[in-house]
Amino acid sequence: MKKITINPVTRLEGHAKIEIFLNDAGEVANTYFQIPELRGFEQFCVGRRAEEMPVITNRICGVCPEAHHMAATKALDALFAVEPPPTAKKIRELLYMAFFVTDHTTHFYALGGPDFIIGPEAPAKERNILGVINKVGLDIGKQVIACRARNHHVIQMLGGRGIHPSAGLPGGWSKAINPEERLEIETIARQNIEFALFSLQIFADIVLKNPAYLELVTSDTFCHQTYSMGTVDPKGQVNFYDGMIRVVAPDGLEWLRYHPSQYAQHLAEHVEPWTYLKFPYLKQIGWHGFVDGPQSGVYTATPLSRLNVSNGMPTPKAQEHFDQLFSTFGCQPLGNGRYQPIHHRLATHWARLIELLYASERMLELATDPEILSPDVRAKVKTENICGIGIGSVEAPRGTLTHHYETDQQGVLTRVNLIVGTTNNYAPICMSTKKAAERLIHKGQVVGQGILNQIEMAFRLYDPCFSCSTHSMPGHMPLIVTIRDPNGTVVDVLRRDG
Amino acid sequence: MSHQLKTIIIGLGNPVLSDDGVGVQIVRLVQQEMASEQGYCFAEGALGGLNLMERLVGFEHAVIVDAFITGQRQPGSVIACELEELPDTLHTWSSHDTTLTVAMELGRIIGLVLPTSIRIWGIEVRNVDTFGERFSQDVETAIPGVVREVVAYLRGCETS
Repeated sequence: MKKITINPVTRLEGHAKIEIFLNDAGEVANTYFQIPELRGFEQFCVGRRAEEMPVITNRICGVCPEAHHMAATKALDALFAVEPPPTAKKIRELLYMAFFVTDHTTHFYALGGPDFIIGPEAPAKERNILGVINKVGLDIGKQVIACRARNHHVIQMLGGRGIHPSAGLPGGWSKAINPEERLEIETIARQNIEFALFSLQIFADIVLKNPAYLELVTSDTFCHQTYSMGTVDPKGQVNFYDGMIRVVAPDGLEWLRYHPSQYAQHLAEHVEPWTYLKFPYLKQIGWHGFVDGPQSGVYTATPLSRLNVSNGMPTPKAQEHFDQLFSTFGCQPLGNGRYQPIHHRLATHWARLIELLYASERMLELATDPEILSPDVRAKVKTENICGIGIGSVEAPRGTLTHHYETDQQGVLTRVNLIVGTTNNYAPICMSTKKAAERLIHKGQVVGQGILNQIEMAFRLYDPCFSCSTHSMPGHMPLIVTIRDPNGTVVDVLRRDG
Repeated sequence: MSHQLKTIIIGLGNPVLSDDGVGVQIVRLVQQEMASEQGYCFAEGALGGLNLMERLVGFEHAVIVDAFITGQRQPGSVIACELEELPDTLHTWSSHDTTLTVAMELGRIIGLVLPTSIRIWGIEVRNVDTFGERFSQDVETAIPGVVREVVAYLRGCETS
């Protein structure tokens, strides 16, 4: 096959730019899914004081500033060698649960869910939240906006600002909660639980009771036997805020369990010439290309992978749905509450809703914890304790997020490294995109709009975050699929502007 | 035309991502210029789609200032128009949810109080993928003019 050179991604054309190369038989040989990467972040940070990072990093992304704020704050705890008081940790986690509720709600109703609720073959212009309202009713629109509003209110109440929180400090949190705020948050958490259960019921009614959709979810179309990653608590159950990183093999056996600070011992990054973004993989297994199976170091870090590695959900209602999910796919119990992993990637949508329920239930637990009202929310920081390295990790909605800072003895940054949620999943996204293309291109013949729909579904399930494109006009993300013959000549260009 | 007490002015963008933050910087300068004038709500953030629509709730008028990339205009070029005057592909968008157009339609359908007019200033930019706190020269040069236009618009003597 002719050597392929693809120009660097540009902002205008770079969003979801996909190149498909055919072989001599007209079948798919390779696909390249390009995600734009922002450059110069480490250079921008080096020389600054480390304590600026929670505020700087929450500007990286307009979609998940709370996740960056939290990972940065935890990295500072480690850097300053300070243990936050229990209440500070609980307030952080409480804000983080409110964030998860808004984020997962938005994805299901505005982005991923419409593929099912409206239908995967529906015109793109109808597969949005307005289409959901047309299908399910006006009240659902009101509920989605109300859910977002009440949880944004919690984020503002706890985090100081509604959009880019600022309350995280090394060793704690900048403000305590008063009884009135606690009561309001408790009420909101109860509303969230009802909304999450309602959302799971919609999924059950519209997807699981529809044989065609259920077949799509459980088909091999987007099935990849990769390793799964997620954070687990001491019981081996899901935790978004803190814990150990567990990786399980495609057959479900635990492959790794490590503290987030040891990530560099277990993860490496592969570089491809056609993209600036790197591909993380499991170092001990190695990079063997965009392939699945136990011999490939490719892993996923998604809502589904988090459930795959977990001994179960720590909250009762989420646990019921966890069991239902794995039994629907016929997964055998592996002991300690864990099941054989699910590799059907469209199940990620279902897993996301179970996480929505867990976040709601956990929010209620925290809001009703007597310790949450303690005024002791910050441990004293001593600059002489700066240890020169701080690594913090949380589960972001789109996967495990790791911040790694190194400083001099004055706390001035000398090195910064981030592994963000979407980056973990870059190789699997490429694999799913290729599989979608393989289904719809044969003997050089392309099914036009069908391939755009399938490719959209392939990457939407991962909810990839195109951080730099959250606001800047021109508005719509152009989805561009270029199909080339073995010589690199363009056979077809399929384009959808939003 | 007086928009006092009923107008929100939002600068969109990332202030540490080179030209991407031009909208934020312009709104900060407008706020300084109008520091003695009460009643306007100034905001900034990397917002799009539903988040942006929700931020507009309760206001009668909105002004949005944002970076703009068409690739067909010189960096520093300025576009000023009402939201509905923009071509379909030029609406503020979020990769995570939906377009501002869809978000606004959703808001109106469910009965939210949203601005009756949304005035947009878009500044064509050059560098939005490298972290930094400096603007490209041609973008920097455009800033004072846009600040004057926005201030004049807000004071009810629109010049754009």
